[in-house]
Amino acid sequence: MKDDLKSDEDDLPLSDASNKKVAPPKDLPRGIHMDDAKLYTKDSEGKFRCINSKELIPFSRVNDDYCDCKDLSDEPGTSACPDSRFYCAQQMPDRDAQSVPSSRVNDGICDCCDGSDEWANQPPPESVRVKGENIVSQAPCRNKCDKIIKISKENEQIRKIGQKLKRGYLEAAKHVVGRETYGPDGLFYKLSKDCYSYKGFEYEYTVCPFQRVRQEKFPSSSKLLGTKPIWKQKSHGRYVLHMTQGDSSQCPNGMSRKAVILFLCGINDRVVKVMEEQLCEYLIKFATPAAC
Amino acid sequence: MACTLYNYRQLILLSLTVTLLWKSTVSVNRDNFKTCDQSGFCKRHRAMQSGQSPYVLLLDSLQVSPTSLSVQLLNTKNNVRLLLQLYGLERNTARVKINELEPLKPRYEIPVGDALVGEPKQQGIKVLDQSSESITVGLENNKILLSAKPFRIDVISGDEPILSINAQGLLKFEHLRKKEEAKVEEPPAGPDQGEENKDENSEGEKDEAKEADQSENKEEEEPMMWEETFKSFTDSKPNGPTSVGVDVSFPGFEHVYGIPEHADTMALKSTKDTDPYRLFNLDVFEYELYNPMALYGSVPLMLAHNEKNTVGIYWNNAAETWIDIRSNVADKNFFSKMADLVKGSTDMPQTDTHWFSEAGVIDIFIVMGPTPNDVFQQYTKLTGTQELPPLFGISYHQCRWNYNDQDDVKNVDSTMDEYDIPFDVIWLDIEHTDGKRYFTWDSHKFPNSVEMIENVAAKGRKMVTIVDPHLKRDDNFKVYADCKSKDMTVKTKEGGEYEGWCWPGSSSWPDFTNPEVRKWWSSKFHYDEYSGSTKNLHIWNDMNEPSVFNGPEITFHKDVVHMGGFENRDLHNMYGFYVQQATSEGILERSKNQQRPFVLTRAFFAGSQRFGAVWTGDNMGEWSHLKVSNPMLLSLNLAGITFSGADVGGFFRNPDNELITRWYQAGAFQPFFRAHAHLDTKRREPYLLPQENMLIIRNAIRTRYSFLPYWYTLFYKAYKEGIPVMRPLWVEYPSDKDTFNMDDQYLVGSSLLVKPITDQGGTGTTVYFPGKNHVWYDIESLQKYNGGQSAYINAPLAKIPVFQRGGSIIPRKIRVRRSSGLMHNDPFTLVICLDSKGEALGELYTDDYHSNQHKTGQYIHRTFSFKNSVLQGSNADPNGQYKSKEWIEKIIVIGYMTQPKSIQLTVDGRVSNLDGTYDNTHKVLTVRKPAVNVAQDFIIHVV
Repeated sequence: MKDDLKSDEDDLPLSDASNKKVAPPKDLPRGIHMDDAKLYTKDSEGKFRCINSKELIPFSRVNDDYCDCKDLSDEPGTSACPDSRFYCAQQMPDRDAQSVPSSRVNDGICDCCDGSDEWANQPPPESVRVKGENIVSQAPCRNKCDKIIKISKENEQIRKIGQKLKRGYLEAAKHVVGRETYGPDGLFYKLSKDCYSYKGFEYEYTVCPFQRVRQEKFPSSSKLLGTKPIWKQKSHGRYVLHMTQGDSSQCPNGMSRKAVILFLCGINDRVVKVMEEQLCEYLIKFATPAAC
Repeated sequence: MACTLYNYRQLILLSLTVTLLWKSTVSVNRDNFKTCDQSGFCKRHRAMQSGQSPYVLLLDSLQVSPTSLSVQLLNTKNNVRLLLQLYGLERNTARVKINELEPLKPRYEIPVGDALVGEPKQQGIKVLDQSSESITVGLENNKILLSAKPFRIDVISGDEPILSINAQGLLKFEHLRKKEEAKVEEPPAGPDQGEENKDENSEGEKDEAKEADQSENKEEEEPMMWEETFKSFTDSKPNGPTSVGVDVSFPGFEHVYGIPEHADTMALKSTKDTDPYRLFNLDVFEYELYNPMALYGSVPLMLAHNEKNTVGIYWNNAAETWIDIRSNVADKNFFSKMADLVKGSTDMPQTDTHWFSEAGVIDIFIVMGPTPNDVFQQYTKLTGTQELPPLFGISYHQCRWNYNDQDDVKNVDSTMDEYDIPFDVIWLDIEHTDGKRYFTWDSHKFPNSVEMIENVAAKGRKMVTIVDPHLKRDDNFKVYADCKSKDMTVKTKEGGEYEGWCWPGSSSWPDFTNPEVRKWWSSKFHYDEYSGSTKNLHIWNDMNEPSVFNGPEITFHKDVVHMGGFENRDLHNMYGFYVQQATSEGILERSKNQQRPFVLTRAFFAGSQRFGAVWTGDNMGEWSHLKVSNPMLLSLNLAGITFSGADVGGFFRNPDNELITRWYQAGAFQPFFRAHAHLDTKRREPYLLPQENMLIIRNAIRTRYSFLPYWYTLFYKAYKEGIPVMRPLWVEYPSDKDTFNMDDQYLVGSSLLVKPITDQGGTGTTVYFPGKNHVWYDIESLQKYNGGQSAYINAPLAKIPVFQRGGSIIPRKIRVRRSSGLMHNDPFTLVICLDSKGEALGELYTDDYHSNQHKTGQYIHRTFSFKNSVLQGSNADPNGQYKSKEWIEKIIVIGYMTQPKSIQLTVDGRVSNLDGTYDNTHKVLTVRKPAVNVAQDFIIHVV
């Protein structure tokens, strides 16, 4: 799948080890966001003022594993205040801040790519420990940020190439009347001119965006999974097209089959996966530069 | 999941593919299930007239031992003799057993160690009085009076009569007899009756039959004794009539409870105008509510309760059983009720019950209380207590028929985390297998199940796969081939392998009644046998009534043969019990007895609590099914099966956003908490709902997690003492008559009062607060309510009406993580609600939350008391030696009336000061970070 954007398989927040300047200085409390650094300073009497609820508490009670502030601001680096956030030590520029819920601090699971949420270096409770090379890793954690950054950079490259190719998709739709049917400025028009096949375990699928989606099982059965296109979302980089009014035989309550096409950024036009998420509703992941 | 015959046809016609399987939306097809009229023995027993008992005790035959007596019973109509045995048992319990004196062959009795956890301990009885008409026996403070003519038994506790047997004279014991060719009845004529169903007897023999009918036993020869037909199914009844029955009266009792499983109110109703309550484990498709029809499981335990006493009877019989109930209160007609209003009723209330089973013996355990907790302890002494579940078992379970493949599982797991919704277990229904061959995986969808399970497990979670008892008849399926080669299947009456239809198509069933077969089944869970399993995989037994799509009433033919030549007729209700037992023992074995198993079952019997959890089967996503879940679970809890729940959201149909939200709120306060959905339904994982609903559901689940220490402690009490976790109000307030019918609100333990909203559009509800001197606090707003009265509670969608009793201390964990497995070492918060005297009590049980080492002392059991502004934490059980990392981070005292000056902590003689905050508006004192280990003794003085 090298030509599609890779998802963060690891479920780890993205972070950039090469860029240390956004990380808070060492003498600041653990788990805070760089921008909040000035809020976590002692006042003249050595006290900390809760950020929104404004109570004054001794500064020694910041990150002392007990939640004092009503606004939950005194424990940025522990799990003591439920529903607050822990900011990973390594942050990546040009990206949203990488943080995890406070409930993930020192729970034995590595969530930040740098492992900073597991600063106690304690494995999870005994019965929960697993052995073997798993995607989810348990404390003590290794810094995996390099791998994440690598994936992120690769994704960036794919996206750039994709964005170049995307121009051709807009070009193709330029003179098409009613091109908005195919997305903003007819972005996906080009895909309507072709069919794409996908071989699953039991069935083969033929996906002709905006025309029809079929499921075939050789030699006998063939079913129309959807034919009438309806956009569910076509903005903010998310493109979800419903192909509705498919065959309704054996569907619950006489509903008709529906194929939900999720367009994802990739260099080539292709069907990545088809899954019958629930009876008579099919999720199709479709990679295309048009979605970059 | 249930299957109608309709589906069964679909299954066959449409080549068993999932995408082709669908179910119509009609509800239960009553025609598939027998009414009393369609059941020969039910009809025969129900037709009996009271006051005409032909049975007399032959007191000459009396034999007395220190703990028991035996005496013969004579049926004066046919001269058949029975043997009555009366045993004194420990803890205010008596056993009355009636069998034939000389049966033609042994009648079936459930082996000791199966439903009964062991041979009940006997205790001394004393013959207090004996005459030619009666014997009086003393047992503790009770008298048991056996009258000879007509035979009856009266139990008197102190001076109060609490129970009578055969007071109405409905004892009927169909003795085993040879099928004399002469007595063959004519098959009843009916639309289903074809020539092929006729007996091969000649006309000549029929004439003889007519003659024989005029002889001595004429009164006993009735239709359907030697063969009966239901729909197109003929029951051959090679042993003829074998049923047993007797009446049991509860003088002074207006309310009886128990005998699950029925989709009905908690307080049982008079069956005067309906069929009797039926106990016969069946797979009922889209069951109807508020009727006495049989469902998936059976516990023949009935409790009777009034202001002074609680008593119970356990009917130790695994055959199909019906129970008629008459109440002189409920059955009063309108005019006599009017007369009562005028005169004031002077009648003593009485409930009369009539029990009859198709086979076996009469074996009645009388548990004499006198308190509800006594009854629970007495009953669980007999059938065992709830096995202590691992902590994940009482956390939130995410299930659906089906999660399609490894990616799907991974996606649900990670999306729940993305939305920060805690869950502990993700389940795989039948589609995960290779063609419904259990113990296998669909290799395309689950090419690497070990990696999948271990990835889920790495976050402190578990997985559950379904393993049903039907085996696909495919010689290449090794579990089946092995079962067949070892000759371990259930047999037809001719001795061949019994074959029926279920999910895989043509199937056979291992004979789980055979201990050797159970051992074999257990071994199939060993890691080397169940490939692709790991220690983090647990099991779900479904369809174990068993469900047979093309069988009579969707189950086994009654004449199929089990171990020892007994018919399914003799023991039907035990089959599912044995399936779960063997599965649970398999999980134990694979871990060399180290791991606590988690096994969910749909079918059950008395004693099933020893093997895991039970759910109420295939309910519907309807408000009425949400509402009925409370009485159904209360009935199960009263009958020893406390680890029980209902599918959150409803199995069939698509619940709307409001219903599913309310259902999560209810489920969060029921013992077993699992969301499940049918293949036909839309996906409904909490994160798919609109944000408002998602947040409310998330909050409900998190609330459940925050109360897990309390739940776990309650489950320990259930395990240790047999006290149910989910309790009707009357269990804690036994003299409060207003609570006797209450099943829309209940208690979790003794300290939480719960009234889930179960009405569409509900924005509030009237809550009854029990206890005249009690106070109750809303767990969220801390609003105080006085006991002994009702109050209207506003409950917009986000609100679950739950209240903590003043006088209680509840341990909680406020740091809710993504799974309970990651919370094992987290600190406790003690939430103390003071009573009107400023006092409170509570306890906490903890251990490693997963292993069996608690059985060898690796646990901690603490008590907490608050009195005179002093909180004391002390050891409740010095045998507990576990070392835990858990500590106490916070103490919240609600109802503390004055602002304290200082707080002192004393541990090991060392005194230190603690900080605290005081909320004068709500009168809440919060003590900051005592930081004592959970196992440590401590004293906190508030000055």
